[in-house]
Amino acid sequence: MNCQEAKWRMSLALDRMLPADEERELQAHLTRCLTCQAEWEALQSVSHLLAQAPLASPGVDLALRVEERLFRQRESRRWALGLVASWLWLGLALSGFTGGSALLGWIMLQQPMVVSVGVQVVARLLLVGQAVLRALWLLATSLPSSWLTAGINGCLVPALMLVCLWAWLALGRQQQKMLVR
Amino acid sequence: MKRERDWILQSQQGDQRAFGHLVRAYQRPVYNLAYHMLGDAAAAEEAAQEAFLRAYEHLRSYQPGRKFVNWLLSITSHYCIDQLRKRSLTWLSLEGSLPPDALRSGQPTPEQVVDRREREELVQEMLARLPLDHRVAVVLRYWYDLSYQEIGETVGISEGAVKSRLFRARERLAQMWREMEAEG
Repeated sequence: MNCQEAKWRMSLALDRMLPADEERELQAHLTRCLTCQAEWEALQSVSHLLAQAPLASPGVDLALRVEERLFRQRESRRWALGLVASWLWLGLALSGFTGGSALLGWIMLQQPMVVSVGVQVVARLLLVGQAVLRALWLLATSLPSSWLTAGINGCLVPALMLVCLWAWLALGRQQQKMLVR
Repeated sequence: MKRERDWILQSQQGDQRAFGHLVRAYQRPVYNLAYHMLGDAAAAEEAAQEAFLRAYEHLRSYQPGRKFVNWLLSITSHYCIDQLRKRSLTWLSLEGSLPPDALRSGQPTPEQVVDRREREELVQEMLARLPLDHRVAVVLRYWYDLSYQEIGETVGISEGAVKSRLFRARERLAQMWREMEAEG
């Protein structure tokens, strides 16, 4: 065994990973070689020093700090997501507005009659909606008892649907009349 | 062990309190590795926090067959090596950088404190003079008593490479030791 091989075996021996027969060969080499003996002593001293070194502890409660940072990360992500969503909505609204305006412009140029009918339909729808809402508001505020309010509100939903259906049909008929004229 | 599994499962589902339990259970080994890699208490605290945050982020990639602490140490060692490479930092001064409670346990006498501090400084000085990949192998071997296979898994190298790194590191440490002895 040469000195380089002996050094390699010393490292394994320090980790108790050297087979018994190879360890005997190493011991035999050490008795003959003073250089390797000095190396072995130095290695053992260093190994002892490292093995005795204590485990260092943090001066603060890391768990608290980590929890704080996780909380901050979550908040900033939520904020960033909110920002992205707002921009998306804004983009959608703008493109909808632009597209809608372009479509309306095109219809006004092509079919001026349709536009005037549409304006009248929208105006009537608004009037009907306003009347329905006012009626609902009066009903809800004039009934203090909560169970009665809940009952009436329960009936109002189908009633509102019927009113909407009626308005839709009535306006449709009126629209047909105007087109015929 | 069962509690650890429960905490891991809960943390994987986003329970930060459960993750807090894991941090409390493993803050010392994680901090210790960072401290011996970076040589500075403040940098080690920062690195340990960052390692835990990364662990939380990648908790879904953790494989239950592996020891959780070794997985954490793997993240910590990679983070520390990245930091040292980024800053080209080979050594930070030990002046005032010993961990605040490193010398507290067991109420030692003043002589013991001085002796311990000197030994700590000596160890840190020697470790700091090792290349990064050798340093991490030595710390994992001596402070955590990991096997060659576990060190390999933690650092991402083969067992043969671990043996080789430990051999080279020890060769260098023995040389430093002899030089210090010669200096008296």
